[in-house]
Amino acid sequence: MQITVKLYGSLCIGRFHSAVREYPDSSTIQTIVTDLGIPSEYLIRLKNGYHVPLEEVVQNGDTVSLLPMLDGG
Amino acid sequence: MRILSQNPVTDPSTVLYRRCVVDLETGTATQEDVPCKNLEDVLGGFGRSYQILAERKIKEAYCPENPLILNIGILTGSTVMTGLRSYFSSYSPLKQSRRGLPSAMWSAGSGNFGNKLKWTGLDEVIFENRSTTPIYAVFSEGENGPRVEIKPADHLLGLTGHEKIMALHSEYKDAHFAVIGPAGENFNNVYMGAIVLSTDNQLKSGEGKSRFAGRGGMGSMMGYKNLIAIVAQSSDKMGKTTPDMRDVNRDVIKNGGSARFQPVSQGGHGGTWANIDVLQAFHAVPENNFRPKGDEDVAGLFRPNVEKDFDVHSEACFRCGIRCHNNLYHRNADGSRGALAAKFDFEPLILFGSNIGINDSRQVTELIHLCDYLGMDAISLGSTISYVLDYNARHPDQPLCDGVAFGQFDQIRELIVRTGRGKLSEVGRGVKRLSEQTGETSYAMHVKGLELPAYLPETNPAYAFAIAGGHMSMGTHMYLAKEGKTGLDDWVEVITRQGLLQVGYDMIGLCKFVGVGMGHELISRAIGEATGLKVSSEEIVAAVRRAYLRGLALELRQGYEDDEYTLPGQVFENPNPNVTLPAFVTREFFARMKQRVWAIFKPEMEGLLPE
Repeated sequence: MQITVKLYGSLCIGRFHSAVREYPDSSTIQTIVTDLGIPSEYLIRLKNGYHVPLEEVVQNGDTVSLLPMLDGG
Repeated sequence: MRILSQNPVTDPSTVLYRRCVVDLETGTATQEDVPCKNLEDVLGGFGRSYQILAERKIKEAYCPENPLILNIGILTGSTVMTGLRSYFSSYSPLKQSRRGLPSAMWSAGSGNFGNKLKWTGLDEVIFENRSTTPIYAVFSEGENGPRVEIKPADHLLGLTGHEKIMALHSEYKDAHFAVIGPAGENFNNVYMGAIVLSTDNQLKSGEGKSRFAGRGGMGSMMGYKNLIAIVAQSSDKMGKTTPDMRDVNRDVIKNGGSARFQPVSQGGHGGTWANIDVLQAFHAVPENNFRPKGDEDVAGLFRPNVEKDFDVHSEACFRCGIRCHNNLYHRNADGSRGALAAKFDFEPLILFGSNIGINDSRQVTELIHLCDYLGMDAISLGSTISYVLDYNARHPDQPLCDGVAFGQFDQIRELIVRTGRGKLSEVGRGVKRLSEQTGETSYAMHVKGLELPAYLPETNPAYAFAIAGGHMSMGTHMYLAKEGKTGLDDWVEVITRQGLLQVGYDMIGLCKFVGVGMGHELISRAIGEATGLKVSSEEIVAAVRRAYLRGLALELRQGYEDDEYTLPGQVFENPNPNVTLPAFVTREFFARMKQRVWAIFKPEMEGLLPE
């Protein structure tokens, strides 16, 4: 199935900003994070604009956004 | 600090801290060892200073009876990474209840000043009364303990904060400095004066790489007291890093929390600057007075775009491996690194950038630098200016401040200069007073009289429960963006559990960027290794909670009423459709949230203040 993956901030470095990628059925956010070699801690995960857990299953045509989890100061 | 036993919880009086009281009216100083009353006293910072403030009934900030308290945390000057903080506490000229009483405030800063003060042998200085002439205070190590001198400061008047520091550095070679800028000198017209703290980098390079205790007008309090500068002079006494402390520091660096602030080249996300990418994904970066437009104008402030114009270099506070600073340098004609332009942190970057309609990084750096040199709090100044610009957009026929508008760099620059030099009191006294004068308060971005940092109020209803600055004393400003939580239970929980613990760093002497919470075993280990004291994580959390609640109780005692625990009216009256985060902060939600939070807090606040 095809998933649009969007990356933000430092996560783009050496990867991409936005890409349509192939994943097997029943893939989860964790599958994508692992595939991209991104540490899963301190990560904001959105599916179609909504916050979701790492275990969330994705469907064909979904958009997954991954953002670094920062803080203020 | 003298530590006579290992258990500060059951026997706090066996920990004694060295206090110096300076009477600025007479120029005399007295010193004593003070036994701690509780764990908050032991941990230090505002946990101790607020207990002193609570003993006084102060009706106006600018009165001789209002003390300015300088102190440090238990880990300041230790070998724990980021242990550099010094704290300034007083009743604030800026933050005031509707009844007209000043609120207690503290402000924290890094740099080496806190270390040096500790190494003179002092843990706390209370400045009483005010001098009739401009003076500066010198604390140094003497043969029989800490030595205090009061000296005339006429030669420092009018200089910027950086110039004052460099002038004092030429006289005091083994010292660090806390000074005010022109803003603090003009305290009657500027209530948002910051205290400017020197750094090793600054003294070595001669560049304006100061740190700031900005919030609440503590620099204006120094100005009122005619205390132009404070010198802490001592040999360096940083202890040897023990193997266990090396492990603590290694864990600080390796924990994912601090990694977020580390340079990209170090595997981190590049400091708070990177927040702009995250928040822009939700169109939640403040633009034009906290009103995102739903466009991509802020992209000019993204790091890759800024790097086209500047040499961006990651630097650090003294001996800190986190290296969160992103210093921007001009490029020389040959491509080499030129002079410092500014330090890019999220707050000043946004508040002197997109939030006032400026997205050209060269202009933003100039405004940040100007604010720093004049010695003002970037948050209070930036949020007050954005109100002026917003008002003028709504009232082009009867504008404020000569009609300055969003994006007008030259006019805004002039406005900052006039404010910092005490020529524009309508801006210098903050957005609450200005909006009450104009009668248009709904888009004045403050809570309880203190201007908001660069996180939208519609994303953080917990601002109402911040006691000393919206994001530095309530750790919920990114909660919605990070977790997406909008439930009442979630917000009550986060405010009353994790959020309030944000203030704990401002007790113990560490920077928030160590990236672990107060309940993390690293904090307990660090205290144990640095001092020999045995304090559990649970005991630390309990002490921080009491200190926070004491601060909240003190707000109520200073006249704050329930309806002052609110957000700018615009949040409820005119939600911004451009922000793609959930719009959940309705009046009903907010009222229910407050009711439940107070129901938890108020019983615990009983007995925390003196009768």
